Amino acid sequence: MVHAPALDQRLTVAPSRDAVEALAATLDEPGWLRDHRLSALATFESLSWPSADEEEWRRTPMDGVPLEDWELPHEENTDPPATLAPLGGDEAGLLSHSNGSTTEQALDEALAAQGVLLLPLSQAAREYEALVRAHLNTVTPTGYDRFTALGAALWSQGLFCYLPRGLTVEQPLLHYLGKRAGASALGHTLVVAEAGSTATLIESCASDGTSTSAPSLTHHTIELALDTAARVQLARVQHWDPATTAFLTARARLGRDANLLLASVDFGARLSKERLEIDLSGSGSHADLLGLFVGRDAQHIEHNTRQNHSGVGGSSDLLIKGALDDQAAAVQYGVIKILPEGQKTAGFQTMRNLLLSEGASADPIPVLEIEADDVQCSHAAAVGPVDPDHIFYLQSRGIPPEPAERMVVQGFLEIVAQRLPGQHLREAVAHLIEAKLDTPRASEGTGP
Amino acid sequence: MPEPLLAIEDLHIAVEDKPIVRGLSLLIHAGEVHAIMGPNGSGKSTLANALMGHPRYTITGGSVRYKGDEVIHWSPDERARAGMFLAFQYPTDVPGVSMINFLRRAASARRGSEIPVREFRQQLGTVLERLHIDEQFVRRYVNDGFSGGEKKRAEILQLGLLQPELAIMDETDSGLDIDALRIVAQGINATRRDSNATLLITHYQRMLNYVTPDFVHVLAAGRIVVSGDATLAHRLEAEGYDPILTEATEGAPA
Repeated sequence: MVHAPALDQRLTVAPSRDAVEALAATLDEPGWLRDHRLSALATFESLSWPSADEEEWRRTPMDGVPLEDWELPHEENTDPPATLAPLGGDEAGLLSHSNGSTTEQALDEALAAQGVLLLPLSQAAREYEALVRAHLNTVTPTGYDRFTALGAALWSQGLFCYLPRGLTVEQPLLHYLGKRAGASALGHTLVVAEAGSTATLIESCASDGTSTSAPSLTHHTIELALDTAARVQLARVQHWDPATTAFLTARARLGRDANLLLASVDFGARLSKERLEIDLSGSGSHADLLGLFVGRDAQHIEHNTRQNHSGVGGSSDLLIKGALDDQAAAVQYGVIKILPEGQKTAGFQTMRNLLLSEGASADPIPVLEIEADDVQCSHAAAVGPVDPDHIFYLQSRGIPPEPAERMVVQGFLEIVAQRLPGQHLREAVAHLIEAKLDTPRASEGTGP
Repeated sequence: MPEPLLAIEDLHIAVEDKPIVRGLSLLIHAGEVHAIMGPNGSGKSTLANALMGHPRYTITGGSVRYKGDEVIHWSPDERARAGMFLAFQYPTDVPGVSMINFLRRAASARRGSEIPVREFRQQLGTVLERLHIDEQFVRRYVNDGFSGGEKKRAEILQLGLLQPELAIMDETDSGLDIDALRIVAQGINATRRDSNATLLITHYQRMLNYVTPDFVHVLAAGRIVVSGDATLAHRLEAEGYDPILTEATEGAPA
C-alpha cells in the first residue's frame, strides 16, 4: 500500500496527481475512486476554461474569477460559519461539511434500517462501491466542462443519498456546507432515488467573510438520478461570502413518471453562476425548476437552465424571480429543448426581475428549441421596476412608500418562496430575504 | 354650519398636461352622503384619484381642504392616515402579499400604532361576519385572481375595517350583480355615521336605490353643472343625461 502524504491543513492546491492522491488518502478512499479522480484530472488538463465564445458563458464576467492557486483546506473540528442558515428542527437526517471535513453525520435509525443512506461520498464509495460506481458522474459527466472536471478530481465535501425502492422519507434531509473566508470549496452531491421513492433534500451553504476577504472559488456538482415514479425535492440556499465566486452544476435524469422539484435560492457570492439541467427522458415525468434571488452591491447572479424533453408526455415548469438593488446584475439564459421523440410535452418558463435601483440590471433570455410537433410551450421574461400602481394602492391605505415598496418586493419573491419544500425552509428564506434587503449598501457604513 | 369635512374650491386637475377637471367646487360636511354622477369622460375617476393623491394626476389649480387642512401636497398615505379613503374602481392586485398581512398593516397605519394580533383578529372577524365574507378570503393574496365582485367586496372590507371619516367610492357599483350590489350597499350603510361622510361616484342610478344620498351632483366636462337632492338621480334615470345637461348649459333653472 502506498502512503501518500496527508494534505497540509492550509494547502494551496494546483490540480496535480500528487494533490489528488493526497486527497484520496486523507479521505480514506478506495482505489477505484482515486483512479476515477485521476481520470477526471486528465480530463481537466485536456480542457480549457469556458470562453466568451460560448453562448452560455458570454454574459458571465470572468474577470476576477480565481482560476488558480485555490486554498482547499482539509481542517478537522472546525465550527460551521455563523451565517449558515439553520434549516433544521424537523430533519430526518443531516450531513455537515466545513472546510473540507465532515463535521456532523446523523440519520433516523428507522430509515437507516430500511436502507436509506445519507453518507459522505468517500465513505459511500468505500462501503457501497457497486452502488456508487454505477452512478457517480453518470448524470453529470466529469467532462461537462473544466469546472466539473476540476470538481470530480478534487471534491472534498461529498454527499451520497440513496433512497430504496418504494420508500418515503417524510422529513427533510439536510446537507450543510460551510467554509471560512478565503477558503475555496469543491463539493459533490449524488442522489439515487429508486423506483417509487420519495424524499426532500435541503442544502445550505455559507461562509463567513466580507468583500475584502481573499478571493475564493466554489464549485458544486449535483447529480440526481430518479428512477420510475420517484419523487425528489432538492432545494439549495446559497449564502457564500461576497469574496467568493460560486459555480453550481446541477443535472437530473428523470425516469418514467418521476417528479422533481429543483430549487436554488441565492443571496451570497460576488458571482454566482448556476447551471441547472433536467433530462426528462422518462415518459410522463415532471420537473419544477425554481430560482429565487436578491442581488445587492455589484453581485452578478446567473442561471443557465435546460429543460430537455425526450420522453413522451413530460412536463416542466421553470420559475425564476429575483430582486436587484444597487449595481447588481442578473442573467437568465434558459432553454427548453424538445427532441423529436418528446411528443405531447408541455414546457414552460417564466423569468421575472425586479429592479430596485437605477444601477441594477437584468437580462432574461428564454430560448425554445422545438423539434416535435405536438407540444405546448410558453415563455415569459420581464425586467422592470416596482409597479407604481402597487405602491399607490398600499399608500392609499395609509402605508408609507418605503414599507409599501418592501411589501411589494417581498410579495414578488413570496410567489417563488411559497413553493419551496417545508415550513422551516420557507420561514428561513423569508428571514434571509428580509435581512438581505435590509443590508446597508456597501458604500454606506464605510466611514469618511 | 360647522367647518366642512371636505372643501374643494375651483379645483383643476390635469392628466399628462391634458386638463380634465376644470374648476370644480364642492363642500361635504360630516354626516352627509354625496353622489357625483356623470357621463363617461366627465372627470369622475380623475377627481376620485386626485383626491387620494395619485401621482399620475396633477393638480393645476384650486384647493382641497380636509378638516381645514390643505392636503394637495400631502402624500396618499398621509391622507389615508388622516381618515380619507378611496374605494377603487379597478383595485390593483398585489401578488404575494396576503390580505391579512396587508389589512393589519393598513389598520395599524390608520391607528398610528401596531395593532395587537388578537385585537386585530377580533376586529377583522366582526367585519367579515357583517359582510358575509368567508375567513379563507383573507388568506389569499391582495386582489390576486379575484373576480370583479370579490375585488369590490375586498374594498368594502377595507372600508369597514379602516373606518375612514371621508370615503370616496369610485364606481363601486360597476360590474356587480344585484346580490353583490346589495352587500356592498349594506357595507356602505353600516359605516354611515354623523361623524363621517361618503362621496359616491357613479355612472348609474341603481346604487342610489340602496344608498340614499343627501345631495346629487352632475359632473360634465370637468365641472359640476347641476346639484340637487336624491330626486335628481331619479330624473337622470328617467330622462338620461342629455336634457339635464342641455338645461344646465343653457342656464335654465333645474
